[in-house]
Amino acid sequence: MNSPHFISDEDLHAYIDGALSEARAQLVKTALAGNPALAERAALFQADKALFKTVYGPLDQRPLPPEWIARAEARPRINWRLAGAIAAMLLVAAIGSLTWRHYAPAAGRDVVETALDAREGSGGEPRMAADDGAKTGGYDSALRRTVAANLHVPDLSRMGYRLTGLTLYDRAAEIVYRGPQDQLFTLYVRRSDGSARFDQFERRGLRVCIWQDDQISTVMAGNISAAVMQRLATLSYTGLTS
Amino acid sequence: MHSGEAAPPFPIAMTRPFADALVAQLAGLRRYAMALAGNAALADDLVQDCIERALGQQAQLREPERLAGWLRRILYHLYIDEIRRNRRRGREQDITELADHVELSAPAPDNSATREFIEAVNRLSAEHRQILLLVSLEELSYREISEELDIPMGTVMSRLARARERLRALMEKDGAEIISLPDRKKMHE
Repeated sequence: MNSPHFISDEDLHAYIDGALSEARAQLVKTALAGNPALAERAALFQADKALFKTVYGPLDQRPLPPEWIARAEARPRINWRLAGAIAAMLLVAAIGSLTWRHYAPAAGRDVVETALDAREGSGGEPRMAADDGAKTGGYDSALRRTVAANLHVPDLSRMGYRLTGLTLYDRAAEIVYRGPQDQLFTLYVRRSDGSARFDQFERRGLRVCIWQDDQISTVMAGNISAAVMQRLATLSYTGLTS
Repeated sequence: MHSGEAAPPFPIAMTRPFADALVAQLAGLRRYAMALAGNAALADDLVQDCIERALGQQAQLREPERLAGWLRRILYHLYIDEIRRNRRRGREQDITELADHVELSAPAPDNSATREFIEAVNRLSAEHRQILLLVSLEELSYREISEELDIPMGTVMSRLARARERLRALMEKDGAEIISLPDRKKMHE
């Protein structure tokens, strides 16, 4: 193994293929020069290698069957059965997607941020103003239609909050109230992503409460205390889902 | 070697560049198939199946410059499938048939030596034949072979050394492992 003339089989074949570094190739060359039997063996391997080219090389001169070229150049064959199955799957997926879009919320952006943006965007001014109690039924149906859930506009009058209107968005709604000192209280509602969530915190200078079940997400916001928010949230959520 | 999520180089709507490249590879692919399978009829079947598979899977070819290697890989897998199918059915392939083709189409200075060489190559394992063809006929570097077969360089070198030793042994009619040739007359009956 330590003999200067020892070379491995791998080195010998790499030498034949010219795949050795110059230094390593020189080592093999020296070994071959000092070992006629090995040199003869290497020559046989070299001859075998050359035979591959001599024997098989001309096979690529044979004319190709024209149908191969025609097939390669043809447009991909249409498998009508497969195409039909794919079309049916796409149709089902499209219907499913439309259904999901109708009944599910827009995923991605946090509902709290969306609700607060809505509140700031509308400035608390509802698109549908509440003229009188007779319209409440109309609000309920607009709410149900928009959010695609069986909901009712909550009555918060027990806490001195009167309904002033409703702003409708794409599959979401903001219900607007005014408190005893005319303070703004908004209740944003849309369909839930399916997870449960309840929390109360300060955000953008407002007291915010999120109450989410597997059906709806509600985000309530107002310049009120945590205790008042707790009571309003309870009344809002139970009123919505009653 | 393979880039993960790159866009397919030849989308369905742009089959022309792929078709041209594929046609340009067919002669070499057929030569490789004939040498690998050792049987001209089987080689033609393999190339035809390879064309179909390549057309169907062209979106999987991430590097168009590696088309030749990609086609050889497809063809090799088709060949291995064919060997397995034949083994299950108890069929034996005529490994002497190609020698007739080669003698007819490209007469070598010594026809009997050519025939002996082809028959010895045909008795090698598919794996040994594959690596010998890649290095001796396709003239790929060890690195290119390593990438095409997805094996380490060391494996390329040791597999090649074993393949050459085995071929030499078969050429010298050495060793008890030599498989006896099927009776050619019976096979052509």
